[in-house]
Amino acid sequence: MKLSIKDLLIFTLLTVTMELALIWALQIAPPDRMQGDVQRIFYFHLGSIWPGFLAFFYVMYGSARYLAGRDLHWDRKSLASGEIGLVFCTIVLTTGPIWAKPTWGVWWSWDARLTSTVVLWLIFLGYINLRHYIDDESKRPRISAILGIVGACVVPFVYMSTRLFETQHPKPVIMGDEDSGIKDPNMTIALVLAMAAFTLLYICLWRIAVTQFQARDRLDKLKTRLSLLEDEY
Amino acid sequence: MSYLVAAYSVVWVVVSIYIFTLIRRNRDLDKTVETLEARIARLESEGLDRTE
Repeated sequence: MKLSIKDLLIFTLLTVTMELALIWALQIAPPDRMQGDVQRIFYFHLGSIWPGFLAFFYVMYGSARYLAGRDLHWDRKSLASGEIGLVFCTIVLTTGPIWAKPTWGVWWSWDARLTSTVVLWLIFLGYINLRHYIDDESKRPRISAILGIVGACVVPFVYMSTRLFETQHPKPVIMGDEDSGIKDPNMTIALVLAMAAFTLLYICLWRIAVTQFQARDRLDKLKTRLSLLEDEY
Repeated sequence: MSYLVAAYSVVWVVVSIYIFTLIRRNRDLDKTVETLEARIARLESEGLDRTE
């Protein structure tokens, strides 16, 4: 796999932003008055759910494009995005309980936000694994695309769950109520940097994953050519 | 503080595992492509020899 100048630029930008995000989140941003240093988990917790949601929305977009035009490139792009979305969702589901234990006193609570996030994670785990269980190559991307669209429809519900239900989970910091949100400018900078860094990480990983899925397609073509040659000679 | 360290470690462990999976997948792909290309080239040259 060859790296283009664009890849190197994104990678450099990612390294710089990630470094700055770490410095701001762990050093410059003040500790929370109530939670202390544990609150610093929030920067990377929220920083990873944002590209996770973005990835699932891209799955929806790519799947719709596939269903409209039956172009397999969109299926591969959606698959790569779903895979990375799952990685970010895993980070959210593991950093959340680590924050919850010292703050709530329990690792897990089956409230609307946490449960809906688990449901989202399971849908995309199914989206990735479903392909291994469908032998028909023409049905495989079509059924995956439908599941991908259904899965992405859960994202707004996950986001709105803290408003729709009484939950233990903190209210949204972005587009939240007047009393929610962060007040210190350095906390805001740390959050924005973390979100930017994870978005760049998503772009970087997605580009690599897409190249690999396309390489797999080339490999399949080579296999077909080889079997034809073996029959011929 | 230990919770903070644990959370940040989890982030990097999960990301690293995924990056290593990508690297391994890439290495396996490259190996398979090389093997297949070599076999195709050999078959093609053998085929040419036979037709000559």
